[in-house]
Amino acid sequence: MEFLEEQLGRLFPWIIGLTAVATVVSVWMIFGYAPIDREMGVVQKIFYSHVPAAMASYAGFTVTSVASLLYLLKPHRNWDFAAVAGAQVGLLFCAYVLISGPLWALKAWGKAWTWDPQLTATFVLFLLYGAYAMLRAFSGENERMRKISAALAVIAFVDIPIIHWAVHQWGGMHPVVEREGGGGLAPAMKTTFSVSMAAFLLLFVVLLWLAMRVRRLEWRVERLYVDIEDAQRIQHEQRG
Amino acid sequence: MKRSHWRGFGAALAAWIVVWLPGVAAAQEEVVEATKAAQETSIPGGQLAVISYIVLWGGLLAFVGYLGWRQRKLYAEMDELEGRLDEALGADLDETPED
Repeated sequence: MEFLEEQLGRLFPWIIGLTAVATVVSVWMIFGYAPIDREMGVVQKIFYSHVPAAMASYAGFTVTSVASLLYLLKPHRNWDFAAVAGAQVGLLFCAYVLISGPLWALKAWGKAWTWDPQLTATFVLFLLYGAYAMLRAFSGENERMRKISAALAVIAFVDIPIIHWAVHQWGGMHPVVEREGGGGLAPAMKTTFSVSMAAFLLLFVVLLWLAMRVRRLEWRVERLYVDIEDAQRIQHEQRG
Repeated sequence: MKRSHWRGFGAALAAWIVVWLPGVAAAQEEVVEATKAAQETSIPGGQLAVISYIVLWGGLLAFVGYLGWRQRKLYAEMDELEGRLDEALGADLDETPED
């Protein structure tokens, strides 16, 4: 694991550079290259960030759930770091999905929110992983709470396939563009969407890495407090 | 690449997005005045798209800023704690137990 971290650490400046380039190119493509949708107008451009953000949030929550499952099977601090970082990044992107969706819907549907199955399931997903993040933030360094939180993260993962299949199982208003049943995209729109998706996934990797680094530092600080306490106790015992 | 270079690059990127994006959206808005969706609500679609992208970039920059601030704070705390640990260990080594 340490070897992998070292190798990824070397690649990190390159990944940041690639992310910056992909981001600038995608912003240019969204507003300067992709054509305006004949039906929806300019507001359709929200689609280029809304869907990739949803994918990035699923990626974050998948990292949390898989790392939590591995932590339950074989507790190791790296799984725990990944689980917490994945939830933070996933929640960031999920919050954006829940803001950008209603902004688009305000124009397309005439109202910002409906209790559509896919929308509701996404909101529930945000609440579930939000509960996980809260639990981790306020429970301190308690091993039992870490395991309870990990179990919650594993159970919460069930909601991701529910979101995906909600449109097919229960209908609803949420549009289906790229998946089966959708009308598809014009070639320029498809290229823009692909570049935007790549930029978001790179952004996801960078943010996950940074969040994991902060979590690792927090752990090192906690270890230092324990070491100081041990040193002071030994000192006290020797004096006594 | 130095930290100041990264900061400069980030600031230039953010400024470019903030200045360029609303201008382009406003220009495109004129083209679609007669589209079907534009008749649904009185708020222009371009404004909603710009708000959405400002929220996105604001959120991302705030998160990166928070991580940077937290990291600096943790490094400062680590320096202080390492000093305290050295002190405790040093005192421990200097003092021989009295028999």
